[in-house]
Amino acid sequence: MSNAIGLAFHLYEMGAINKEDTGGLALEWGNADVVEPLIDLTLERKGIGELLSQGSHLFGKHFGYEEEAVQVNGLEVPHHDPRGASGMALVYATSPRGACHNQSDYFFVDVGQVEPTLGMDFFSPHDGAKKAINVKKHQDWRTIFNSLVMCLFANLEPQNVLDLIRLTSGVDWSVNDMLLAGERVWNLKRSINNRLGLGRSNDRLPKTFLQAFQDDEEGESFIPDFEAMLESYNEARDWNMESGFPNPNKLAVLNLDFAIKDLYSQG
Amino acid sequence: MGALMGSKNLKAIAVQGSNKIPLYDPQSYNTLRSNLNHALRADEMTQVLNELGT
Repeated sequence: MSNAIGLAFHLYEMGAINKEDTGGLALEWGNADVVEPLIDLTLERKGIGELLSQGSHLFGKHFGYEEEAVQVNGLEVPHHDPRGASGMALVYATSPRGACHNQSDYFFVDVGQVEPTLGMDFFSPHDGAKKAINVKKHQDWRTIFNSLVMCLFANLEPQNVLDLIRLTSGVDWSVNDMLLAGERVWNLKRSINNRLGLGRSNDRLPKTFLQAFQDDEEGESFIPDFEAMLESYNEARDWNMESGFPNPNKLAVLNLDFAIKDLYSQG
Repeated sequence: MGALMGSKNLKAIAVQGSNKIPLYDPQSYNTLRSNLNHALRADEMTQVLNELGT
């Protein structure tokens, strides 16, 4: 809700919406007094609250400013700006459910939370394409957490997770077995999305993340080299550069042959 | 399936079971669980999040 309300402020200050749209509320940045009424209106789906309740994507679209909404594929971006931690650019753009930080809390990796036993390296928060394979590994690793319904904040070491899996189920995995399972889940979700019509063109960022900061008079903003990162990411994932679909060979390696049939057979 | 549920105005199905799910190695599991819980509580990150929220 805070993201949609933030967008309403932004559009008001742009002059894209006015008091007629807001029911008389002045959405000037810093005017905290109007936030509570906006929350109430949203809960009651009254006035502008009806539009806010639909989320920032549809809110922006309603007023003809879809591209101003800070969202990916309909899900609002949480509070980690890829212009500070570049790994989040790939996390948001390639997440199977829109801009979600639970697919990979890569902002922690970008500030040094590196797990060497997973074959990950440290890259600077402003590095680009070369960290794509690191992001891929971290997504695969966090997919295991999500499948086990474990909180990312606990951040257990890989060996602890492997021990928990073994002692509960009897399945004795290596680190690589575990990452491969994560990769398999990630590609299965990708294939489902691809089958439902999503592809390479959905792997994108809101335009605000590819622009300098608003008050950057000295030109000091860092902007991630997103296209190069995404190309390197597709290479690391063995996904088709144009369609964004997992390549058939990759699906076969992951024992997802039924997805090959779904994505590639004609008619 | 989704269309069928929708056409009947069915939004969700809730199920509940009472059978226990057996653990492969309950004794070792409980030891590890206890150790990890203690380690988690002592972890600096846990304390910071506990104090300041997420």
